[in-house]
Amino acid sequence: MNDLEQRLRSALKARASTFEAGPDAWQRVLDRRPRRPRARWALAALPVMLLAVFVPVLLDGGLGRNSAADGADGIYRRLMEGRMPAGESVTLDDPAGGKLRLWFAKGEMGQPELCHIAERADVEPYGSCGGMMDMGITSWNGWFEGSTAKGGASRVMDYGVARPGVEAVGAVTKSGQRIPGTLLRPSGAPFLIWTVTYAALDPVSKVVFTEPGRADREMPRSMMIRGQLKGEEQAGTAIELAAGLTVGPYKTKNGRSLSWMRQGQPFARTMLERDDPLKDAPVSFFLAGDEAFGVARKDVAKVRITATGGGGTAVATRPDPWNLGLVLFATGPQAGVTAGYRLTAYDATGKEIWHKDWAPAARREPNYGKQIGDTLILPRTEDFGHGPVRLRFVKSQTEHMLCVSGGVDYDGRKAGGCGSAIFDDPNGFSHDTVNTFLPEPGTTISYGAARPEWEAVDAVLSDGRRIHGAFASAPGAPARVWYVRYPYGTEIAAHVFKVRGRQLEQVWHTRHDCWEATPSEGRAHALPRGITAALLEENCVRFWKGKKSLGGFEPIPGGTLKDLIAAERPLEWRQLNTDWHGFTLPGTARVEVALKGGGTATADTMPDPWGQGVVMFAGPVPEKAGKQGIMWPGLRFTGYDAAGRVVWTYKPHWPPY
Amino acid sequence: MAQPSFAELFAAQYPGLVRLAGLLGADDPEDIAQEAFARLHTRRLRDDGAALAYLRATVCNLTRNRLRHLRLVRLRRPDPPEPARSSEHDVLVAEEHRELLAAVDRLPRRQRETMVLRYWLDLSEREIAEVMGVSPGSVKTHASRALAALGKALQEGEA
Repeated sequence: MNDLEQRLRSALKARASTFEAGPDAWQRVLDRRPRRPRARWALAALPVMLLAVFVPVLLDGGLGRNSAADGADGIYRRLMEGRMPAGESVTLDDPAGGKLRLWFAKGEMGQPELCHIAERADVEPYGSCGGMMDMGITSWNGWFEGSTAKGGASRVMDYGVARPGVEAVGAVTKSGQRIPGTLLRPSGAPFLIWTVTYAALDPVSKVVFTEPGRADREMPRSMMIRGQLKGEEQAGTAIELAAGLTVGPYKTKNGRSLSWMRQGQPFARTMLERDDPLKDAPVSFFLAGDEAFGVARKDVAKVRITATGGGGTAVATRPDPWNLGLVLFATGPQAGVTAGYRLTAYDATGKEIWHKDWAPAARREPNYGKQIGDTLILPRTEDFGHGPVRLRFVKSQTEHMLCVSGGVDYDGRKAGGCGSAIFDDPNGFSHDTVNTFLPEPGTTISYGAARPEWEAVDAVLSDGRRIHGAFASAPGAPARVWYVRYPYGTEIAAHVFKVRGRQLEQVWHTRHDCWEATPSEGRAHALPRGITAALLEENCVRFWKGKKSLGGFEPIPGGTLKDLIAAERPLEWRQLNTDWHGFTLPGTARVEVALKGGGTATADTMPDPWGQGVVMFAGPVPEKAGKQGIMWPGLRFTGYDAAGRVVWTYKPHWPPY
Repeated sequence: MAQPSFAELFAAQYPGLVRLAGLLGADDPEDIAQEAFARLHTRRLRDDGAALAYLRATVCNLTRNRLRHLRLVRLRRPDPPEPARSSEHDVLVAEEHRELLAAVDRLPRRQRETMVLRYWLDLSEREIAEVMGVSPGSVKTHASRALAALGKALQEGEA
């Protein structure tokens, strides 16, 4: 490497270090997915509306929200209206004082939810129920659901949900300390509950789940917390306004802000400098669910929220303790406001100084593009919650999309949204699912856009059992749709497609078990050139050179490697630097690769020690391949038997997968 | 192993992809990296290697499209403000690199991509070709021209 190259390398490295990843990136990626799960405390908080107020008289209670007579039992009864408990509840000690009761429930549409009630001496009890985020609980061993963090608390407890197979939970704190957690198994519950308690001054940075036979999974806490902003720094101690709603000041690159939090998770933010929330009116507020909260000018003494259908709550404002020149308020829950309400502000004399009426607007579906062809109603989905399930293709500016409407989202609402419809790209695969939770045990349909050459589709379980799917099409649509129906909760390991005129099936693994496999001591099988291979429990043959992973090959679940090769594609291979390795048909003694421009290399085979029905090989890459390697068009592979006779030849298509 | 690894792939690769987008000239590297992951989510690739290759290629394509868009915007709107960068950016990039990085910024798009993929990500010509969607021969040509241009720029700067 010459001087210029060295300078270039260090210059790029220096510049690269200036680009930082924000802590909210994971959430933002989730939000970008075509189908968006709605957050429990969704910022359904409508963008702020503005108003002004005053008045001295408290209409019914100060900053508390519910009637004291309501109590924890009353809250439980109210939460469970329209819900069914799913297992027993557990009661935990809040390290800052009080109790936290957690239990699973089934929502009105049968969707699984986690509910909580907090009981503390200093505030009236409060609680909520919400659907568990689909990405979290279905993709990880566990997920964060909340925290008891509040201003001034020296000890904090994080809690969440874990899959039934998890046997231990722990955490790593910011200082690197490892602390054990607790797993609770409520009788009859569909999931476990985990807790980790730590000192507020040394907060948790990762949560670690352990499941027998699997590598520990470390989950960065920042990935599970919604709403954190990049570079956000706490600028004061948060205070609790009401009913578990806390608010605290932060510094961001856009100036100071107030972050509104529930269960330790930010869910709304008031930008104090960038947007000047009180520029046009004396009150700036959010409506989240059934309560309003926000900031107001110092002369606003009280705020009242009145449901259009009757009933209301008034709350006194509270001076901000951070000398921001504001007052704060939170109305607490008020029944009926989601159907429309009036927010009124009063001055210290009780005089109304402003009000704002709001009525819910019809939900607007995002416009992903122009619909192509008719809408397809998926067969046998009439009994789905919010059914039947309808699919339609749309053409956006850049791609075809397949849109779904019907079925139940994880928050019980009607599922809907669009995803890429990939039917003309051999590297791409459209796949999404739609659920109904009732009638029990519920049903899931996986579906996607079908390639023209696909003749049959199966969903494959990890033990190899197959569930047959079908195809459907709508007049004028650019592609057919494939779909497979199975009971909710069934873990599908792969989707397999029969391709017209081909012996080999096309496999799309839903679970990538082989990606994360690690070498198991004493089980590695030695191949030439220092390469080792092992068949792992997860039905994965993985290769290493030293400690460096060379990748793996995944048979169809329940099958063996021989299912992946045939005369039409007699070998599978990989390359890393100067080595290549793979497997091929039995009876092959030697494999040769010839480059388009000349240059060959061979590799002798050896039996696979696991009875996979193939022979393995590893060898050097042809010298002439250089940095281009042997993953490009124009290659020719030849298999020879022990007598040196050609038993197969193969010219790969590109891309080879 | 029972879990798919989209989230873990994200944890492992997201910061690097933000930096890749930044080095390629994206005005909002995080936006590019997030979009790449969102698109990956709708795809099922053969293994983690294929997923990473897909992510890198997507970051390249999205950055390319974004820069093209910015150029169009500039054509229509005279004297646009420069894409904002954090103040740390100027502080953190040492003075000694400024001239060279400015020359990198002036390279044609494909040449710049080649330099970043080769000298920052240490990809082989084959891998660079895969990310850029060109042949390895083109990669060699772009790299050669880019190095020549950078060398010339530095010589002129020192003259």
